[in-house]
Amino acid sequence: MALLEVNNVKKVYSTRLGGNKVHALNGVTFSVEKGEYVAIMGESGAGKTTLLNILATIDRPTDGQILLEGKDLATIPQRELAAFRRDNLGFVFQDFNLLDNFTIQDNIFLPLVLAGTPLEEMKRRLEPLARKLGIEEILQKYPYEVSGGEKQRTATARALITNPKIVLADEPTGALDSKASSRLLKLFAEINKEGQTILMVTHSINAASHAGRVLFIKDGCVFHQIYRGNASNEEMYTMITDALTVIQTGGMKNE
Amino acid sequence: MNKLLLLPKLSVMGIRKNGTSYFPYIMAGSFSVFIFFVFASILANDIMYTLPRSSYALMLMRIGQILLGLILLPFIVYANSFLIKRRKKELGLYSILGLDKKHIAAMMAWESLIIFSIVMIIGITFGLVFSKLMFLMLLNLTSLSVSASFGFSPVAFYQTLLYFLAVYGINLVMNIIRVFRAKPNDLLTGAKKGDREPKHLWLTAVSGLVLLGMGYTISITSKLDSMIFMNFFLAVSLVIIGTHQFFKAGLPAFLKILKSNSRIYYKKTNFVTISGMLHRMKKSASSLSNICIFSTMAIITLLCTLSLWRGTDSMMYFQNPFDAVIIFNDTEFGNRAELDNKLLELADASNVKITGRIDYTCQVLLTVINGNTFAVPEPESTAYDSDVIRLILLDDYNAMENTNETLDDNEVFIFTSGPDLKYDRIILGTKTFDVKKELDSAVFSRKADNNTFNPEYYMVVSSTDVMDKLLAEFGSAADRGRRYTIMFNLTGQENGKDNYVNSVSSWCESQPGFYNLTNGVAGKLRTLSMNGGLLFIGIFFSIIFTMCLVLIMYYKQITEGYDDRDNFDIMQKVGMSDAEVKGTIRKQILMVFYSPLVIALLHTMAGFNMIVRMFNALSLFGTGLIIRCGLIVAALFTVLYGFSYSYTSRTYYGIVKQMKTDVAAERSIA
Repeated sequence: MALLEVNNVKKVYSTRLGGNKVHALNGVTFSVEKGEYVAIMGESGAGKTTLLNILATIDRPTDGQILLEGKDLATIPQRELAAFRRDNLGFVFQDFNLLDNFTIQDNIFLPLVLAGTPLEEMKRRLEPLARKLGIEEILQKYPYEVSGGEKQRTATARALITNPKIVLADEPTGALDSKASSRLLKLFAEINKEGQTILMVTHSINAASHAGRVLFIKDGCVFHQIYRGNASNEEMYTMITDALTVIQTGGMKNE
Repeated sequence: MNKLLLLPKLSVMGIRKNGTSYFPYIMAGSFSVFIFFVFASILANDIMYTLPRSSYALMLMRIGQILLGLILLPFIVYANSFLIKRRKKELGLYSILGLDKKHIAAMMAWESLIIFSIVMIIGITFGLVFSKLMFLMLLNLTSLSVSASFGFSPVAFYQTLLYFLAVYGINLVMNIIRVFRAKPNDLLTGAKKGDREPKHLWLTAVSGLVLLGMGYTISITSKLDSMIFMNFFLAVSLVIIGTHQFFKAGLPAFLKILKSNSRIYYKKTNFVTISGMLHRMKKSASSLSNICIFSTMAIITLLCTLSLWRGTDSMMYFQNPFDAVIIFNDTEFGNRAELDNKLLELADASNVKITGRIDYTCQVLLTVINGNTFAVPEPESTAYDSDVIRLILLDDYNAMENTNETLDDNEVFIFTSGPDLKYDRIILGTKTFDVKKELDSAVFSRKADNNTFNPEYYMVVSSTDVMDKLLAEFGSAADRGRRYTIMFNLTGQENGKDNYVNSVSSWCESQPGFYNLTNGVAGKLRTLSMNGGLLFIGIFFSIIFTMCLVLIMYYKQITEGYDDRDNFDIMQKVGMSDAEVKGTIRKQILMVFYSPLVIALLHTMAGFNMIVRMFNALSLFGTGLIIRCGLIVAALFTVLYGFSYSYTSRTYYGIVKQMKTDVAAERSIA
């Protein structure tokens, strides 16, 4: 059984006056196996963020079904959603989403504190994680005192400390310079090698080229996908570029 | 578009786009102009000077105008600095789009000019419409004769114009300095800044508590003496500084202590609240302390105003128990029959009637009081550094009080206008007397237990013989002659009464042995006029203080709203439910906004003793009355505060919600 199954998910937004209907997702279907590293690519407006928000249970689909370890997300009552997110999902966002009133350490502890974890246990989990992510030195600092790369690694630590079933990353390198980007992507690959399932939404070819599989979304549908197989990052990069060219020209034909 | 019109157009846009924060700013500014203009108009009007007994009202109005000027300036400057901080991003954008700093400065000048004009026009218009009404209200409150001719005063207009020109000029200069100092990049990113730890947190926290403690101690231990007004200002200054330090460092320090205890801090319910509060406290310290100080001022002003209003009768009763008190030197003054005739004759002429006339003779002794010993003072001492006791003969006393008391030669009755003396015996010079009775009341004086500042002492002795012996012993410290005192009340027209007492006064002055005449009718009118003036000013200042605090609160809500917009979302994504996030944020906002009220009420309670003492100095002795007024005002103010909180918090929730719909809109576009 796949870890995550997305079956024919649709999302329709109606504008505020109720006139036009916007089809953000038009029947998306794919699945993610445990331990996979999947990137979802698409141009802006393709529905990437909508899809991620639905996977994150922040938004609900208009139609279709999402199963996490066989459990239908739609069956989770509203008031349990927060706890569900906390226990099962880890988030990494483009703009970090760290709280300025917490130190780096407390930002990382936040989901655990909310889950009522004892302090000793939190510290025990933080120590190896902080070492791996290279943020041991800044644990007592505040988010506005550290660099963008450090912020994103903090956010990654916050996502990982709950041992989530799946990490959802939304353009994690979007706000980082290239050096910080490649360091983060390397980390993601390492984490994935240790068994962590990652689903990343991005339109950076470089970011996607680190993934094991790349899904392309266009006009609210999964349009194409590429498996890495034994290819290197560079080969993967070329494959993605080629695919994107095909999709774009193919898209032209469709219009 | 014409380049000449671009800048004014941009400034109008700037004001309109930031309407939610500029509208209250303009309203508050207009109201300030209005009040200032009303005060200036009343002061500038000639009529005021021609009215009899208007000097108290005038003096109070003048003090009021100066205070008004002192309060409004920092308040408007504060509001302006808030507005300009919020607009950093917009200004940064202009500068990046190619407006020079001097263009931006010119735009700010246009804005200031526009705002200044709007504020002046609204304020002066309302001032013109209502200043006459306000004037009549003042005359009515001060019991001055109503005069209908009150017109526009150019002087008042120029004063108002100049004052507000200066205020808005200062604002403009500060804005321009801010623009010139800033780099465009700072302007763009400046809106979001981390909180800085206040310097010397612990030192400031401790010193703040010490200052508050000192202020409280001064107030709680204050006594009715000549230092009370000085002490009051000292206590107020200490508490103001202490309040600022308390909010800046005291509360954050307390929260830090909680935070450093990981057993308390890393609890689900405390984690978000403690750090959230700490964050808010650091950003909001100055706003919160200002809200707190304005609240305290509003409460105390209202409390004093209400007490004064309700207590005027009792004040007049104490200050002037009689409409007239005439004192003659008994040995020099001869013809009592002529005086009696003259009093009746003049009464007929003024159309008033004398009621409750009391005559008695007393001997005044200067003494130094130490417990129950009334010693003979040093020869060179004066009435200022010694106390006065008045000796009354038993016969006079019995006649006045309509009693049939008896006294032995070594016995006395004692009476004081202050708290009971409770002595069994007293020593006058070298003679010891048994106190046969301490009198609870007397027709010739008023008694109040908390009248501790220079109370009057009376002693009823058995005979002239006893009095003469004491006189001999006290020597030069005794008044040369005995004093013959006539006290009475009047019925009739207020004007007639005053005229009558004045004519009696001028007749008495021509008589041999005339010592003193107290015009109680005029005294009562003076009290009425002073209390009325204080009432008038009190009402306006309460309104001003309340306006200041509501505006600061409103701006604070806006700031919190914008800050929380992001936090709301993050906390939800990290695993708090919508309800949890709302719950914790509401709790924090409530704690942040109600902490100034709690502290203000605490300040009021601590200052209460001092307020009571100051009223005692004004001969208002009804502690119960002041407590009742205090409770009413505190309750009323709490309701008002809660109301303005809930009103301004709508803005807060509006901003937070706006974010949600913004996101929804973005999604619907995506």
